[in-house]
Amino acid sequence: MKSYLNRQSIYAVIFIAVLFSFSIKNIMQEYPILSQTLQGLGSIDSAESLKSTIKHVDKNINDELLWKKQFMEGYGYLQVLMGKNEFNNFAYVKDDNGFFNYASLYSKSDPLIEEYAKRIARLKESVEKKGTKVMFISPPSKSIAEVSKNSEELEIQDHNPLQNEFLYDLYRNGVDYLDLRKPLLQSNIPKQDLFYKTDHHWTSQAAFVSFVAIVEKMKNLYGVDLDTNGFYSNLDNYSQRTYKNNLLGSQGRDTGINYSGLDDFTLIWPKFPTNFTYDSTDNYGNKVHREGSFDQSLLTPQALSHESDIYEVSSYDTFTDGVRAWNKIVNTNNPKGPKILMIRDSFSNPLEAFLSPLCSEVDAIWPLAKSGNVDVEKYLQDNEFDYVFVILYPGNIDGNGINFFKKN
Amino acid sequence: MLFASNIFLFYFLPIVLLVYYLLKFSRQMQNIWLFIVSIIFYAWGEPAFVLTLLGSIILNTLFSIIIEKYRSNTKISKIALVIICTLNIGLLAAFKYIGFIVTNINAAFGSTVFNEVKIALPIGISFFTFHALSYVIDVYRGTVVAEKNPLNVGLYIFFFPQLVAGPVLQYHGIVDQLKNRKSSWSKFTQGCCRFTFGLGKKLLFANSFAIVADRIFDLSAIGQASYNVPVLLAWVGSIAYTLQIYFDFSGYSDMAIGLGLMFGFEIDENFDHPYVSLSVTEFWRRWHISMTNWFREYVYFPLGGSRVSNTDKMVKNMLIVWLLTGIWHGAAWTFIVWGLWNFLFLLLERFTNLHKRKGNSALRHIYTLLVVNFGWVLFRSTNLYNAGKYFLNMFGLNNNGFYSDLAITFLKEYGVFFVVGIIFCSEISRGLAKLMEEKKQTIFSKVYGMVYPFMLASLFIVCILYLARGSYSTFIYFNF
Repeated sequence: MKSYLNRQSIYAVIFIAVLFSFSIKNIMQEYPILSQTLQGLGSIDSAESLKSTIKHVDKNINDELLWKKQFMEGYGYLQVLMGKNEFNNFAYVKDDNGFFNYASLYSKSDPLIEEYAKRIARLKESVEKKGTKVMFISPPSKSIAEVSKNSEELEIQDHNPLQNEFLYDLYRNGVDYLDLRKPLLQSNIPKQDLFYKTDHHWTSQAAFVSFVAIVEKMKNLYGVDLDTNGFYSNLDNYSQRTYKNNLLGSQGRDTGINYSGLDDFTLIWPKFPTNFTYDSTDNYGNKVHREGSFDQSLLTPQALSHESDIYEVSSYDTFTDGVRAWNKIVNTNNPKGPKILMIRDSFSNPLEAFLSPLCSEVDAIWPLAKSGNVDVEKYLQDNEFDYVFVILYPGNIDGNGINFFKKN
Repeated sequence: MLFASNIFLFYFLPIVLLVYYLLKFSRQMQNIWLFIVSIIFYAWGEPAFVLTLLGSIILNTLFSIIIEKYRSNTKISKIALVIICTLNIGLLAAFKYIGFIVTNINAAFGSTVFNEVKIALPIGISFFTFHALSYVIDVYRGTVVAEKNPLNVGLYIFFFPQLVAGPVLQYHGIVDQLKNRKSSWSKFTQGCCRFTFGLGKKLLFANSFAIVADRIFDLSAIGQASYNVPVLLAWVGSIAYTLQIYFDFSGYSDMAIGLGLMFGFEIDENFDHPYVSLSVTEFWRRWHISMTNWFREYVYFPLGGSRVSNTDKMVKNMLIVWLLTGIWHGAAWTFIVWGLWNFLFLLLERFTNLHKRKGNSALRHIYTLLVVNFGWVLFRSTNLYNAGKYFLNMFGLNNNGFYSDLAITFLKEYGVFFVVGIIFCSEISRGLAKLMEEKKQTIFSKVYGMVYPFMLASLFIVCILYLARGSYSTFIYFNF
């Protein structure tokens, strides 16, 4: 019994030492943030405001916990040791090749899927009189054939049935569309290089193939040849640089590097001369203005720097500052080129940049922005475009992604 | 506030411990401090209900004084007892059962007799009510003296370690500790170890089993059109829930007991390896012991218990206790049927003396685990229809197949937890614990003694990793 008490005593000393030293250091780190949050919340004058304050304080305490990233890495390491491929209650499933996917144990169909197609049809109808062409561009998700393979029965979210149904509904409603799955699977890019392992986004190389496919589709569908001699579609006319182990995608940021690993990121930019003005509004309403060549105006290479926090900044956001509520690229070298509006999500960051040299102007609206949203319908009334491209990844084919031209 | 949260572990607990021991010169000051922090602990999750519960404490204090003052006048003290018990139960009924009653009346009449009532359930109100009832009944019986100071009553009812999910403390068992407890380093060290074990049980095991159980019960509930749950998967789900509820609740009890020890309180054990039981009767002697004792002390014995003139009365008494046990757990038919399910097997064992028989221990163990497991399916299901569907899935009567890749995947992904969890529930862990406590120093116990503190420290660190990650978490008994 004596030794039992002794071992308990030793542990109690460790427990107290760890608990108190960590708590003191943690409180010292969190106190300024908590104090700032409490000041920002104002006075507590009701049970509801007290509840809201508690909620905010709790969130701050959890988000700003001392050594949180290190703890997350430790957690990830434990999951690796246990050989786990499912992460955090099926938030993600890691496949045989280490690709992260969203998990789905059964498929749910969205009863409003046809309505979303009709919203695009209404958009088309509203701008048709102005001579504007509308096309839905459908990038793939990782669930396209041969990208993600699972030897286990861990069902990954398969967007293909939804994507097929939606494209069929667009066809029935007379909306042009481009299904990017085919050109990507037929391209020379190895399947494993189409997507990042730690992110749901496609790679820069896949985005470039998609850009070429869009130019080709415009030629076939509208008879407009933006790249007469194939110069812009030729990757040889672009510089490429691969940054090894440089990208930690949104899925990897959730799980930590120990569990997810890192992706290589390839930056592609034109060798030919370019000149743009770039304006955007970020999600906090801040305005950005840049002028100059492609790399000066459309790229933010800070994301690639080793000094930037890999847990906070993704290399994928190097193109056009990542996804923004609104941005506009004016190509001063090509004033006679077409004017395009992209209603898009983050898949279009590199696409928008690659299309810019062929256009006079590319505007982009992100309907899913949490703040600073732009009213799509009003924007189309106030501005004229030659083409409107709705570009949404299959996971965003829903009421949030297609939240415009709703039925009256 | 949850024990398994950053705010509790890195803000609340160190501050409470520090101030508590700084106030060592005065027990009264320590009690005031514990009462204040207990209110903060509760208010952190439910600020809206604090005043209601404080009001209830004052009422219980006043009525207990009246009961005591008029003890010689049985009529007045009885009336006072009835009033305060009605108020306590009424408060519980108003929050917990009114919606259920209205829904069933409307369903019975096939029309909206009363408008649907949706009242948020104050966390831990069932435990709160049991504590309050225990106090006033103990005073009425004269086993304890009525407390003049509402703060002491408040601390008994509101003491944060057992406030939201027990154990259910009987007032006569804790009253002396409220004023005369002795804090010691030995108790404190035991408390630290116990708390860490509980935290590990909750964060690592209960939460992992919860992921498996929740997924599979949800798959069964969404219906065959979306997903057909094969037999193997249904069994994995029910076993996962059987493990989850044990690790969740016993983990919480361990943390409560550990925290109590840190403050010098000795709270009775609430679990004693229930899954090693060889009968349902034995299971209920080992599972949620404090609740079983409460029902025995305040319901079963007053009704006459087993020492009644005829068997019919004994059966009636048991039926009342198990109906109440079911209802206490939740306002749903699943809980009532679960209570009756247990009653049925306890009665069967009483008549056959199964729980007293020797031999066939393997068979009796399997029988007990099956009865308990089926009971948990009822307990976990959102309604009787879903429970029925789940049972059909378990027995392959739902046009479902037997084999499931997903079941194998769950077992593979959570294999570590299943293996270690089952060992912790079994005789093996009991044997190991016995071995550790043997006075005779074996090499094994010496090595264990050396690695024990570091093993526990590693467990604590791993718990912090899980906490920091903010993994899937829910406390089952918070809803009761």
